[in-house]
Amino acid sequence: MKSLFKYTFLLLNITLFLSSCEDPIDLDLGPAKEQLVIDAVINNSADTQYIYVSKSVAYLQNGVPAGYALDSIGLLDTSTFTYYPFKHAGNGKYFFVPPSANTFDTGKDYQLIARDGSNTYVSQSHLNAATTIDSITYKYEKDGLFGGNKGNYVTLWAKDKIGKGDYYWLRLYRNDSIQSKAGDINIAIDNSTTEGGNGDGDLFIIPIRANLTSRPWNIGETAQVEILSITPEMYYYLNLVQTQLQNTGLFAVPPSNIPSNIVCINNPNTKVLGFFCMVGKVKSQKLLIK
Amino acid sequence: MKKLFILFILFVFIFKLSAQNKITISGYIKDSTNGEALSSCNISIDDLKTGTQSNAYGFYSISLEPGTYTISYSFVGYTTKSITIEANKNITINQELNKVSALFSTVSLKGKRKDNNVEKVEMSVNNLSIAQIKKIPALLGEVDIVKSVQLLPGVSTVGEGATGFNVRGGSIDQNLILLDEAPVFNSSHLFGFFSIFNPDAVKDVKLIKGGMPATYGGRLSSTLDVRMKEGNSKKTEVNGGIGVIFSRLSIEGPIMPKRLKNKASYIVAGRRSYIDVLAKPFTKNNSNLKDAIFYFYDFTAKVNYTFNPNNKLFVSGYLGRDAFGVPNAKFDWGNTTATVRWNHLFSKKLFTNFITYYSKYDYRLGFGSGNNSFNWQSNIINFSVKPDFTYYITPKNTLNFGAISTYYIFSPGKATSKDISSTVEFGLPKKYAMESAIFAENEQKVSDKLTMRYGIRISNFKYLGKGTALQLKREFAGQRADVIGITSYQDMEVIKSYTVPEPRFSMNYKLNKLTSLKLSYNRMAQYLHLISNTAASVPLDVWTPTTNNIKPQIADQVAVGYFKNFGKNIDYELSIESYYKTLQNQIDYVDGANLLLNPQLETDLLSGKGRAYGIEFYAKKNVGKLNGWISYTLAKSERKVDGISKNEWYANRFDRRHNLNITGSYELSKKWNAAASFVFGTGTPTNLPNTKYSFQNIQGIPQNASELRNNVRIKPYHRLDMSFTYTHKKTAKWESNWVFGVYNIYKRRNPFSYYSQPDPQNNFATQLIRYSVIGSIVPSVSWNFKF
Repeated sequence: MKSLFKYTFLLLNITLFLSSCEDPIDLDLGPAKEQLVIDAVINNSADTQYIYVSKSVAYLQNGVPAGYALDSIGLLDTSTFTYYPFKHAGNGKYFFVPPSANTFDTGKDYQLIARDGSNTYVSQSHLNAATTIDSITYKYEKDGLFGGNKGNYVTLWAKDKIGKGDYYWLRLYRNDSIQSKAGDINIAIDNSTTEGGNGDGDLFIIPIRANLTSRPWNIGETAQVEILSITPEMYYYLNLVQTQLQNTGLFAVPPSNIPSNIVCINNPNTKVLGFFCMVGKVKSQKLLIK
Repeated sequence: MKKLFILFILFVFIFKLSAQNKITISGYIKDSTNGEALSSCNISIDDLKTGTQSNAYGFYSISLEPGTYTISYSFVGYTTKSITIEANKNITINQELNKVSALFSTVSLKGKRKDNNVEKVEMSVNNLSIAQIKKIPALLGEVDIVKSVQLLPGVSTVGEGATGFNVRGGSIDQNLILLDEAPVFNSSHLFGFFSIFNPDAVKDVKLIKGGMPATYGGRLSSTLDVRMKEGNSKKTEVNGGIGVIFSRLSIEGPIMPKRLKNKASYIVAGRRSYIDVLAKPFTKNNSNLKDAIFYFYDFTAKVNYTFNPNNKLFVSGYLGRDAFGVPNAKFDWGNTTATVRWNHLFSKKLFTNFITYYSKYDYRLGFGSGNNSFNWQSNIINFSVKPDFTYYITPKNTLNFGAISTYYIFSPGKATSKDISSTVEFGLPKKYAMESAIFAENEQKVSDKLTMRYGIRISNFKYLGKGTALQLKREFAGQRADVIGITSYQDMEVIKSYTVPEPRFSMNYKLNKLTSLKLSYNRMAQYLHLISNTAASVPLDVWTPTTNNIKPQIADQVAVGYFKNFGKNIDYELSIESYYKTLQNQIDYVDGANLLLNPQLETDLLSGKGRAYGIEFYAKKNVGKLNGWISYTLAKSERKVDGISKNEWYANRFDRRHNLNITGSYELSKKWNAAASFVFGTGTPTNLPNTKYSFQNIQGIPQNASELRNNVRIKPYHRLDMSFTYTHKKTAKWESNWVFGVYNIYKRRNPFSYYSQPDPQNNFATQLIRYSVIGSIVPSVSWNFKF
């Protein structure tokens, strides 16, 4: 939808000679209070799993926020009470090597437990089963697609799991590099983008399956899609992240803070940023654009 | 409800008994050149120093002791007519008044009686005739009713491109916008750049901000009553214009004048934008835009027929549509309204207006085509019946009473998704509701100095089946609620009912012939809510009914005013008004609210309270070579919602402390007329983050660590516009003029908003942006004609 509005205004500007304009400005935004950020998305594969810990920085400061070292962080399987400690690799990056696939298993609940001085941070997540991917294909669109330029567009052929209320995060890799700009965040409820407009067990609707990115693909590039089965809370978190990052122009909504599902149990007033989610993961074949 | 109705009838009957010995003089007042009814025309009985005014349909009625009287009919811009009659029995006098001058558009303004503002009991009211509106310099030369209303005291907007307007600190959905008595749900073309009303079909516009008459209800902040022309009943007339955006054409005239003896007339008017056509040379080389669809149009039609002196019928309709699209994606929306009105005189003293209308707003979205597509549609439909009675009991008492009932059907959305192998349909269920009200109000001249209007409106809203009601529990203030139960209801079963008594009161105390003090109080209830949290409302925003979880919005407003006229011929009018308003059950949204197509929308809505207060200065010069007005408003509008902004009062998105508007026009010569308008407004408040973080490789996620809403105020808004009109020498059959306009003459980049975003050039940097909808000078030219 956003892109449709955008092109409408582009057209309006060309035709009406109304120059709507966007200028970078500098403002005093008040004191920047640092807050702890925990980034923990753990899947059921045999790959090495990572948790990233950092502190928030002033909004207009450039560069990657620096990592932050905790006393400890790890996951607890709430059915077997097995604890999986993550090791610090430096600069706030923690890792764990699962002995096999499904060490973190679908249908189970896990707790994230982190300790930093006198504070203990916890969160909980269910691990939802992955769906399946049939294939990914591409096609040359001479008129562009959904307002994008002409070029090759990738379509994902995959179905939602049977049963209402499945939430997905569809992540795109271009030449093995994860696409994480706001416009490339794709999330779904069942096969659609909204709770009221969703079917069940069907192909993802065309605005999702054919519109994973608005940037067409060049010959020689490779495309790959992974679908993470996420929790509803994670869906709303990502929905907010995407909204806040693209919250521009006439149709901006009031900027709002994005609540985390991680809490400081000994001091509920100490806010934590970031999120914890266990995910079931499926990845497509790599597709070479020829 | 029924008991109250019986009471009204009894009330009417008693008055009837008490007034039996009198005779009644009544009739219709019209413009002599085109037969249009003249409303608010003054009828005075010189011998008794009493009088009355014609209503919106030009009807008047006055009851007197039998005798000989001199009656004067006067109206600004028209020659006053006086007649002497000997009245021994009820008598009908229809009057046609002559315009003082008939020059095209640049003459002294057609308006209300000069001392209306001091004489009348109504306050917080602004009348604009179409002639006045046409004089205001307009964006791209397109005469615009809503944009003109924004220049009035107490009215503001968040900026260009924003739909609607804000009245006395209220939100845009709190304005009841009536087109020939039918409510219009979306008053804009092209998001908010142009309003949907075709100026060639509009007669006049009235904005009521306070002291609301009991006949109006259903919205908290204002009523904008747009009346369409009836159509020239004397001769066929064609009006039109060619501008940068639209071309307009309207035709009006009598229907079979010989056979029907000028008893019937019509008007049809249409506009279409042709930006898409003009844009072709610029877009054909741009692969994004070359096949873009981009247009809007509207069509207005009205007919009226006078069966006999006691019965008159009006049928009017409006159809408008906006369409946008790029390859594989399209989007269109529009309003449709139809109104049938029957004016009936039960007696010379009892005027009745039976109104029935249908109004619909819908939008459609489509992606892809054929068997690889996704389509979505949504609408709101309502049907309404309203009998409205005016009983001219004595010259000192006029009673207005009636009832209204409206049935709503909300279709939040229906979707069809297709792929090669299957077609799947899904969507949200329809919702139903019935809104009803009864009202009665008496306007009483207590003494020469004191006039009062007092009444009550009792409104009722029923949220009806078939449907489901959610039971909610909100664990943390300001956060999404949980659904703890769902109850199903059958067809027409009442899910929830609300009744709100809405007292209305206004009074006018005349200090002297040219000065008066006024006071008013009104309570308003609103049962429909526009669910929108974007800076400018989008066509996808849904209207939702009051439910078991969403309570009716209620506003109480007190206003006081000082009105004074001065100058040699009462050329100047001045008013100072102050108001205080409290609002209950104002809708707010949880952070990250999911407003589109959400079956559990109510879980994302919060309820808070509001307060708004201010003082408005308004000085106006109606006649002469130089005329126009200055309005200044000092105001504040705040909200308080549990769980938001640390539970403290915070300034609304549309809070503007100072608001100054100056608009004027000057007749340079017989041929040239110049007009200018200047607006200034304090910047509106906005939210901005002060820190950021990253998550899963997503950089620059904003965070407002202060947790206060609207923590930054944007820079003030100001703008100067000018226009020059050249009128060709008028011939007996042909009139035409050219309008040359310049909008935003000193190229001010007025900020519409500030926002934060990742730097498009650097993935690890973020920036703050000032967004201006119009950042440069916008010239325009248009040509208008009439024959």
